[in-house]
Amino acid sequence: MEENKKATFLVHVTQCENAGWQGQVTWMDENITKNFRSVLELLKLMDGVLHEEGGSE
Amino acid sequence: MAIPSEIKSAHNAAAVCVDKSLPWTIQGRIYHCYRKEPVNFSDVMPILKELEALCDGISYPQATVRPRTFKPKKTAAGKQKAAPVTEVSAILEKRGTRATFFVAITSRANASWQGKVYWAERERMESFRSERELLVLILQAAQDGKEENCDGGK
Repeated sequence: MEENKKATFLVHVTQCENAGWQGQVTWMDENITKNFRSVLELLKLMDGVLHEEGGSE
Repeated sequence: MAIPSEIKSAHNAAAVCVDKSLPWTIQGRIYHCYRKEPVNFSDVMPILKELEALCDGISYPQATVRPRTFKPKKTAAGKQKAAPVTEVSAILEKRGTRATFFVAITSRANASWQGKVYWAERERMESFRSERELLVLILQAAQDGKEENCDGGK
Protein backbone atom coordinates (compact mmCIF):
# COMPACT_ATOMS: atom_id res chain seq x y z
CA MET A 1 0.00 0.00 0.00
CA GLU A 2 1.51 3.27 -1.10
CA GLU A 3 1.53 5.86 1.68
CA ASN A 4 0.33 9.41 1.30
CA LYS A 5 2.95 11.99 2.17
CA LYS A 6 0.78 13.72 4.79
CA ALA A 7 -1.27 10.92 6.34
CA THR A 8 -2.49 7.42 5.72
CA PHE A 9 -5.97 6.20 6.50
CA LEU A 10 -7.56 2.80 6.30
CA VAL A 11 -11.30 2.98 5.66
CA HIS A 12 -13.63 0.06 6.32
CA VAL A 13 -17.21 0.61 5.23
CA THR A 14 -19.38 -1.76 7.24
CA GLN A 15 -22.87 -0.46 6.48
CA CYS A 16 -24.76 1.59 3.89
CA GLU A 17 -27.68 3.01 5.87
CA ASN A 18 -29.48 6.36 5.56
CA ALA A 19 -28.26 6.79 1.97
CA GLY A 20 -24.72 7.01 3.28
CA TRP A 21 -21.80 5.03 4.61
CA GLN A 22 -20.95 3.89 8.12
CA GLY A 23 -17.83 2.16 9.29
CA GLN A 24 -14.40 2.64 10.80
CA VAL A 25 -11.43 4.73 9.75
CA THR A 26 -7.95 4.14 11.11
CA TRP A 27 -5.33 6.87 11.13
CA MET A 28 -2.41 4.57 10.38
CA ASP A 29 0.34 6.98 11.44
CA GLU A 30 -1.01 7.13 15.01
CA ASN A 31 -2.85 3.80 15.03
CA ILE A 32 -6.13 5.43 16.12
CA THR A 33 -9.47 4.08 14.94
CA LYS A 34 -12.73 6.02 14.94
CA ASN A 35 -16.23 5.09 13.86
CA PHE A 36 -17.95 7.26 11.28
CA ARG A 37 -21.68 7.58 10.70
CA SER A 38 -21.65 9.35 7.33
CA VAL A 39 -19.38 10.30 4.45
CA LEU A 40 -19.35 13.83 5.87
CA GLU A 41 -18.08 12.60 9.22
CA LEU A 42 -15.46 10.43 7.50
CA LEU A 43 -14.15 13.37 5.49
CA LYS A 44 -14.15 15.63 8.56
CA LEU A 45 -12.16 13.04 10.49
CA MET A 46 -9.54 12.88 7.77
CA ASP A 47 -9.56 16.62 7.11
CA GLY A 48 -9.07 17.29 10.81
CA VAL A 49 -5.79 15.42 10.67
CA LEU A 50 -4.60 16.98 7.41
CA HIS A 51 -5.38 20.55 8.40
CA GLU A 52 -4.46 20.36 12.08
CA GLU A 53 -8.00 21.23 13.06
CA GLY A 54 -9.94 19.46 15.73
CA GLY A 55 -13.42 19.70 17.09
CA SER A 56 -15.39 18.61 20.09
CA GLU A 57 -16.42 15.03 20.54
CA MET B 1 -41.55 25.15 -12.45
CA ALA B 2 -40.52 28.34 -10.70
CA ILE B 3 -38.02 28.11 -7.89
CA PRO B 4 -39.93 26.22 -5.17
CA SER B 5 -40.93 27.97 -1.99
CA GLU B 6 -38.90 25.48 0.07
CA ILE B 7 -35.78 26.96 -1.53
CA LYS B 8 -36.93 30.61 -1.60
CA SER B 9 -37.83 30.60 2.08
CA ALA B 10 -34.66 28.84 3.27
CA HIS B 11 -32.36 31.42 4.84
CA ASN B 12 -29.53 28.92 4.60
CA ALA B 13 -30.11 28.38 0.88
CA ALA B 14 -26.89 28.14 -1.09
CA ALA B 15 -26.22 28.39 -4.82
CA VAL B 16 -23.73 25.82 -6.09
CA CYS B 17 -22.70 27.26 -9.45
CA VAL B 18 -20.86 24.66 -11.50
CA ASP B 19 -18.56 26.17 -14.14
CA LYS B 20 -16.66 23.05 -15.11
CA SER B 21 -17.21 19.34 -14.73
CA LEU B 22 -14.49 16.71 -14.77
CA PRO B 23 -14.68 12.97 -14.16
CA TRP B 24 -16.24 12.70 -10.69
CA THR B 25 -15.46 16.25 -9.68
CA ILE B 26 -16.70 19.76 -10.41
CA GLN B 27 -15.37 23.30 -10.21
CA GLY B 28 -17.27 26.47 -9.56
CA ARG B 29 -18.51 28.86 -6.89
CA ILE B 30 -20.78 28.75 -3.87
CA TYR B 31 -22.94 31.68 -2.83
CA HIS B 32 -25.06 32.09 0.28
CA CYS B 33 -26.52 34.91 2.35
CA TYR B 34 -23.79 34.94 4.97
CA ARG B 35 -20.86 35.79 2.71
CA LYS B 36 -20.45 38.78 0.40
CA GLU B 37 -18.02 36.99 -1.90
CA PRO B 38 -18.41 33.50 -3.36
CA VAL B 39 -16.30 30.58 -2.24
CA ASN B 40 -14.48 29.01 -5.17
CA PHE B 41 -14.20 25.24 -5.29
CA SER B 42 -12.15 22.94 -7.51
CA ASP B 43 -13.36 19.72 -5.90
CA VAL B 44 -16.30 18.57 -3.79
CA MET B 45 -14.56 18.86 -0.41
CA PRO B 46 -14.86 22.68 -0.22
CA ILE B 47 -18.58 22.34 -0.93
CA LEU B 48 -19.01 20.10 2.09
CA LYS B 49 -16.83 22.30 4.29
CA GLU B 50 -18.53 25.56 3.31
CA LEU B 51 -22.11 24.28 3.67
CA GLU B 52 -21.29 22.64 7.00
CA ALA B 53 -19.63 25.85 8.20
CA LEU B 54 -22.71 27.78 7.05
CA CYS B 55 -25.05 25.58 9.09
CA ASP B 56 -22.72 25.70 12.12
CA GLY B 57 -22.34 29.47 11.80
CA ILE B 58 -26.06 30.18 11.96
CA SER B 59 -26.86 27.19 14.17
CA TYR B 60 -29.45 26.03 11.66
CA PRO B 61 -30.34 23.33 11.27
CA GLN B 62 -28.99 22.11 14.59
CA ALA B 63 -26.96 18.95 14.19
CA THR B 64 -28.37 16.05 16.19
CA VAL B 65 -24.89 14.71 16.96
CA ARG B 66 -21.44 16.24 17.32
CA PRO B 67 -18.91 15.07 14.73
CA ARG B 68 -16.14 12.77 15.83
CA THR B 69 -12.51 13.81 15.46
CA PHE B 70 -9.05 12.32 15.75
CA LYS B 71 -7.85 15.51 17.46
CA PRO B 72 -10.38 16.72 20.04
CA LYS B 73 -10.09 20.24 21.33
CA LYS B 74 -12.24 22.48 23.53
CA THR B 75 -14.91 24.30 21.59
CA ALA B 76 -15.26 28.03 22.10
CA ALA B 77 -18.27 28.72 24.28
CA GLY B 78 -20.79 31.39 23.34
CA LYS B 79 -19.78 31.67 19.71
CA GLN B 80 -21.65 34.52 18.05
CA LYS B 81 -24.15 33.64 15.34
CA ALA B 82 -23.33 34.82 11.83
CA ALA B 83 -25.53 37.55 10.39
CA PRO B 84 -26.79 37.63 6.79
CA VAL B 85 -25.12 40.10 4.45
CA THR B 86 -27.44 39.67 1.50
CA GLU B 87 -30.95 38.52 0.63
CA VAL B 88 -31.88 35.02 -0.55
CA SER B 89 -33.32 36.55 -3.72
CA ALA B 90 -29.84 37.73 -4.73
CA ILE B 91 -28.46 34.22 -4.24
CA LEU B 92 -31.18 32.74 -6.43
CA GLU B 93 -30.05 34.92 -9.34
CA LYS B 94 -26.60 33.35 -9.50
CA ARG B 95 -25.84 30.92 -12.33
CA GLY B 96 -23.04 28.55 -13.19
CA THR B 97 -21.59 28.16 -16.67
CA ARG B 98 -22.34 24.45 -16.69
CA ALA B 99 -25.15 24.04 -14.14
CA THR B 100 -26.71 25.67 -11.10
CA PHE B 101 -28.04 23.97 -7.99
CA PHE B 102 -29.83 25.64 -5.11
CA VAL B 103 -29.42 23.65 -1.93
CA ALA B 104 -31.51 23.96 1.21
CA ILE B 105 -30.40 21.81 4.14
CA THR B 106 -33.44 21.28 6.34
CA SER B 107 -32.07 18.86 8.92
CA ARG B 108 -28.77 17.37 10.08
CA ALA B 109 -29.53 13.92 11.45
CA ASN B 110 -27.23 10.88 11.50
CA ALA B 111 -24.12 13.10 11.27
CA SER B 112 -25.37 13.92 7.77
CA TRP B 113 -27.55 16.35 5.83
CA GLN B 114 -31.11 16.12 4.61
CA GLY B 115 -32.92 18.64 2.46
CA LYS B 116 -33.85 19.76 -1.03
CA VAL B 117 -31.80 20.54 -4.11
CA TYR B 118 -33.17 22.43 -7.12
CA TRP B 119 -31.53 22.13 -10.53
CA ALA B 120 -32.19 25.52 -12.04
CA GLU B 121 -31.57 24.73 -15.72
CA ARG B 122 -33.95 21.76 -15.72
CA GLU B 123 -36.37 23.24 -13.16
CA ARG B 124 -36.34 20.06 -11.15
CA MET B 125 -36.20 19.54 -7.43
CA GLU B 126 -35.10 16.46 -5.55
CA SER B 127 -34.86 15.55 -1.88
CA PHE B 128 -31.65 14.17 -0.50
CA ARG B 129 -31.22 11.97 2.57
CA SER B 130 -27.45 12.42 2.97
CA GLU B 131 -24.61 14.64 1.79
CA ARG B 132 -23.43 11.71 -0.28
CA GLU B 133 -26.78 11.57 -2.05
CA LEU B 134 -26.63 15.33 -2.64
CA LEU B 135 -23.16 15.10 -4.19
CA VAL B 136 -24.16 12.17 -6.41
CA LEU B 137 -27.20 14.10 -7.65
CA ILE B 138 -25.12 17.18 -8.42
CA LEU B 139 -22.20 15.31 -10.00
CA GLN B 140 -24.41 13.17 -12.22
CA ALA B 141 -26.50 16.14 -13.30
CA ALA B 142 -23.47 18.31 -14.02
CA GLN B 143 -21.56 15.65 -15.91
CA ASP B 144 -24.25 13.81 -17.80
CA GLY B 145 -26.61 16.68 -18.24
CA LYS B 146 -29.38 14.45 -17.08
CA GLU B 147 -30.57 13.21 -13.73
CA GLU B 148 -30.40 9.63 -12.62
CA ASN B 149 -32.00 8.11 -9.60
CA CYS B 150 -29.55 7.87 -6.77
CA ASP B 151 -29.56 4.61 -4.92
CA GLY B 152 -27.92 5.79 -1.76
CA GLY B 153 -27.80 2.40 -0.17
CA LYS B 154 -30.25 0.35 1.84
